[in-house]
Amino acid sequence: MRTLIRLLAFLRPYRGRVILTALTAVGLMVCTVTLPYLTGRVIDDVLTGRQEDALTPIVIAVVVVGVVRFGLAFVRRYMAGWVSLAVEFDLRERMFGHLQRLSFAYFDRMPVGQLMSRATSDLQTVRFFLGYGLIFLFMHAFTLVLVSAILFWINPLLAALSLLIGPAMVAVAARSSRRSHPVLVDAQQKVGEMTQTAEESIVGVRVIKAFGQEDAQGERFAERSRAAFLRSMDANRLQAFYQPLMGFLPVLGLAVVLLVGGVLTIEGSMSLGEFVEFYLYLTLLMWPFRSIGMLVGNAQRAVASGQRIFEVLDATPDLDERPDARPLPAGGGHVRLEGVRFGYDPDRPVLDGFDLDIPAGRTIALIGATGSGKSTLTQLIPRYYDPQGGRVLLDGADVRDLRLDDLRRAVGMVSQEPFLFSATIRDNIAYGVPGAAEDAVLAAARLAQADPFIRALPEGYDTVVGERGYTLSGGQRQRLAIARAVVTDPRVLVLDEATASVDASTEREISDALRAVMAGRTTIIIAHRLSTIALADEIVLVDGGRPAARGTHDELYAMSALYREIHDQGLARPTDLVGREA
Amino acid sequence: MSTRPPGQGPASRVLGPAVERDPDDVRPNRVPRRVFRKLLPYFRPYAARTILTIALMVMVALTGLAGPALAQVAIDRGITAGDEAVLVAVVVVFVLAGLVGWLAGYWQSYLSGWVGERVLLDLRTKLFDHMMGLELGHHERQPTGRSVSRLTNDVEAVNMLVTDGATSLVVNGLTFLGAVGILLWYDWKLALAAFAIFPLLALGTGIFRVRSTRAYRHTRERVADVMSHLQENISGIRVVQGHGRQDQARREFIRVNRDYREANMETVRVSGVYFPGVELLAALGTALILYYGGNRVLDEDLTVGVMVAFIGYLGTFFDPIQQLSQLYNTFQSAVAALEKIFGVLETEPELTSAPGAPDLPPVAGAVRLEGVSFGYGREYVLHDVDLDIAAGETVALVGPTGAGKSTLAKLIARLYDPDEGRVLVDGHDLRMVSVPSLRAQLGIVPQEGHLFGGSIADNLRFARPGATDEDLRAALGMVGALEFVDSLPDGLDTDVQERGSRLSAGQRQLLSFARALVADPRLLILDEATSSIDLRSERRIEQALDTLLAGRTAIVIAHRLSTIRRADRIVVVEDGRVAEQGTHDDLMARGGRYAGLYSDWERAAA
Ligand SMILES: Nc1ncnc2c1ncn2[C@@H]1O[C@H](COP(=O)(O)OP(=O)(O)O)[C@@H](O)[C@H]1O
Ligand SMILES: Nc1ncnc2c1ncn2[C@@H]1O[C@H](COP(=O)(O)OP(=O)(O)O)[C@@H](O)[C@H]1O
Ligand SMILES: [Mg+2]
Ligand SMILES: [Mg+2]
Repeated sequence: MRTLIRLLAFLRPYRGRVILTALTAVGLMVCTVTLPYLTGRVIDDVLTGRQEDALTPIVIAVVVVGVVRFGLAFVRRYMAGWVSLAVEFDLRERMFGHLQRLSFAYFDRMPVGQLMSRATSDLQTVRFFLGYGLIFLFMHAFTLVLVSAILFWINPLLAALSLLIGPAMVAVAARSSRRSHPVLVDAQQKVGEMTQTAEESIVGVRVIKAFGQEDAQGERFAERSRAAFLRSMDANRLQAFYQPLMGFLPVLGLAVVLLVGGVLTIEGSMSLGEFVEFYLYLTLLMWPFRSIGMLVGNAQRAVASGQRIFEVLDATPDLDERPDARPLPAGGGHVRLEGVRFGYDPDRPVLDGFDLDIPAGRTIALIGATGSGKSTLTQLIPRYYDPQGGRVLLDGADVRDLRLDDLRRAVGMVSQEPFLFSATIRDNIAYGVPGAAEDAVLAAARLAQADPFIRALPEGYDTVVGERGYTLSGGQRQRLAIARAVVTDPRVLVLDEATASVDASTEREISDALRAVMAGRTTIIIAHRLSTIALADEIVLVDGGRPAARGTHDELYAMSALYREIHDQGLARPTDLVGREA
Repeated sequence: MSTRPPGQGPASRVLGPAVERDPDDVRPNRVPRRVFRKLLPYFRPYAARTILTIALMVMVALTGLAGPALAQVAIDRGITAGDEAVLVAVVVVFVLAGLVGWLAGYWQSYLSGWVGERVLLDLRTKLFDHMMGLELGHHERQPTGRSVSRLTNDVEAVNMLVTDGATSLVVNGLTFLGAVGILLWYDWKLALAAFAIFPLLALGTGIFRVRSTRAYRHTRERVADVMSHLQENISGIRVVQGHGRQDQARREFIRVNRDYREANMETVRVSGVYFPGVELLAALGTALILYYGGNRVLDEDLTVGVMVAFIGYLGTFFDPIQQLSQLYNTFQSAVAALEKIFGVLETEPELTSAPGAPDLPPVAGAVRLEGVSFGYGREYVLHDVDLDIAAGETVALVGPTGAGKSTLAKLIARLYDPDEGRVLVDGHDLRMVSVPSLRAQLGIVPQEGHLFGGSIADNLRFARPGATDEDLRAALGMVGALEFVDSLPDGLDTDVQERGSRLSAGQRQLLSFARALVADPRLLILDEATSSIDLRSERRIEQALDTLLAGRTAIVIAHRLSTIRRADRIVVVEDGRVAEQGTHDDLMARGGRYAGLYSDWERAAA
């Protein structure tokens, strides 16, 4: 019920139109009801009563009522369509806007497919209900009351008898929707699982093929499809039972009218015209009776969908900007972590009391075991996540006090697996600076050593990279990501294994260029190669959620056994290695 | 090369997808019959049920038509004639007809639902299997969303037509024809008078078809825009937020959303005129019948019952027209969807084996490339590559990014076929043996290690469903990931979530590596399999590999010297060619590319 009320609130901006729709619907029903009345008049007054000159005016009245009904019906359809699309627009826009504000942690939990289905099919269900369903419910209810009143007015006894089917129909409708609802929801769930499998298989098709698992995956998909089929057959069986039943009940009502009404007419206590009128009016009621059951079902589905939508809209952006957030203070990118404690699951901290101070303009390298929290650490600076304890400062300001957009623009991130949009290379590079000058794009591409390979592509900077950039080689993707970060001219630059897939020669060229970029900004490098680490002024060794050691290469080598081990085992200069093994 | 007038920068258009059309959304209408003929074979296994269903539909339509006729008999022969016996008899028949209609309706509804869904189940699984059989290149050209859409939305659109649509078509079509026939039979003059509105109806329906076809196609295109925009912005949300581009993205979305709304408003307008229009015509028809029929009743030329029946049938006559027109949109969507589905089904897999290709026997693992040239598009990425790898040998591929190393690996795994030349394993041309038998003996750790949502164990077992927990633990131990997996609250059963997003990039790589080891292949291809893994772990992996690789052939792509130096042979790939090959010492002595690369390493490390 609460969900329903919240859904109705989306109609509020369009109150005027909704009321207009309701009014036209009333007019429409009055017109529709008039037609059998006029037919009755023709039979009684003209045919039975022999008032021959009354025929023409009645026929003209029929035409006029038809025209008026046309006008009203157009307005009703137009308004209902308008409102329903407006609601869809608003809801979707709200949802999109809200998603933009939700934190990374939210998207870690929520699969893309789930969000998609809420923003599309659930939204459609709601819009149809708010736009059309409600009006129909209103129209049908109105028809029921109006026509029943007329029936009672014509002949109370007959009305009472024939309307006995009314409660029966409502009961059947209610029971049908009560029984079908859980089955339908479950069937929908099964379809969702099948969709999930389809999506996963297409996304992971490289792996499926690489291991020759096409058949096994096909079997998996078939299994999910079969489950969906079986469940929807359950729903089908219920529907097949109830719908024709709903078609049959009115027949009983009509039979009562034919029999009892016929006898009454023969006995002369009812005119033939009244009888025909009565019969036609009763047929008018069949449709509302049948639909109300369906509409109640729609309402239930809309509420279920509404719940799923509100689940998204109610997710609090736990990482929202403060109302009094301030702009970035002046500074050169002084980064400071004070006793930072953070875990994706708060009970299992990844960082535990992390202290780190990086003076403005410095370059430091983070090294440490896989999963030790290096990437996590860097993600706290642009506030992708908030720490559970301690604080992160940028140029003296707690990042939680800063305006989020400013902060994020001030920190350039080149992540481990860069996401590229299926857009042109130019648009991808310029992503962070909409409207970036051509020169800036070219300069950034050159800096990242991406220019030569881009120019070699058939359409150069206008080449559209495929989804997620899969048509580029790994190293090419990384270089685009570097260019994308550099173009924003960030205060702090984070290179998270940004050159892991780049060969030594290219890396050397990038490194040379990076040295120029790093000048004047704070840079954090995560890497496993000495060549890259050598770019840093200092090295920080991450272990056990804390900085285990910090210093220049020589200092660390002297100080830390762990560093010595790592160094000797891999970081070592090739000559050392060759020398030792030779 | 890249000239573009100012002001037309990326700001004016944020991202591609918003304007991307689904090129498969062909104009329907052109060949609906041909499309449906292709669907027909899918009904064949269920022919008996299909025929039964159609027979039941006829019954449902007939019992529906009986109503007004019986009412007429009741009025004329019973009430007007004052004969209660006839009245009672008619009412009994009336109720019986209703009962028959109910039962027929039950079976018809159930069977048509069953046949429809069953056919679509077959179509869907066949489509999926076909998609899995299509070469990787096909999937790289198709956005994920589009392929998924074929399997879900498009099949659903056909479903709407096959289950509800077909019933509606048959029942309403028959009802319409039946009503016409009955009216003519009653009184052909009055019938013709009522049919006077036909030309108008036909004209209106014709215009409606044309306009609504256009409007609905437009709407479908706009919906696709909204979907792809959503899809990409949600998948890439971290980048959007990371660059503070939310407002921009939102503005862009509002535009796409508004375009859709406007396109859809046109369908509202079109049906807003048409459907009330049909009702208007129905009122005109009633007026005609009342006037002409009334006069004839007055002339004692017609009974009241017949006239009432006429008005009754006029409803059964306009209703089906409305219903069928409503169906028209469903019909169009289904045709468009079927075209797309068959478009995929008729895409021949480029990468097939000769029919009845024999299985590849257990191999020793000797790989040979003979004059191999290959390109993803127009231009070759590999040019005339010759390469010989002996069974049991470990070969390292090195070279600049984009040189074609991964491509070479993918050709050996037969994810693509070369455009020229051939690839042989133990002397068997890969095109001459069945694909599963090749893949069963080959393990590849691709550069983009992809994990499926689900538990770690499921992911590891992917290539060998029969593997025991011990096998999994052994593989994890070999890549040094056992400790980390054991430290997770649910161990092997931990859900890694979509794309493995609960893990660090390096951990994903480790699992992807372990997965290949579980497969226990004869031929192992490692494409930068350890690029995100820290040195100590990598070191451990290398030591483990020393034992593991004994007796197996391995192709290793890496940028780290320590890895490369362990190989029996180093192959330098440059610009799609093998620039040189030999052992580390040979190549150093030659003073060529490798020596150059090596000095870059040295200098970088200095
Ligand atoms: N989105 C996430 N949700 C839950 N756990 C995560 C997530 N990302 C990383 N982790 C976990 O946090 C730890 C640190 O990861 P990360 O910082 O990526 O390591 P690395 O040092 O390799 O960059 C790992 O144990 C990883 O499993
Ligand atoms: N799926 C693809 N579609 C089109 N072009 C591709 C695709 N994959 C790679 N390429 C192009 O082929 C060339 C070789 O790529 P690749 O073999 O991945 O290089 P690497 O030596 O770095 O592994 C690159 O120029 C790349 O842009
Ligand atoms: Mg990392
Ligand atoms: Mg590669």
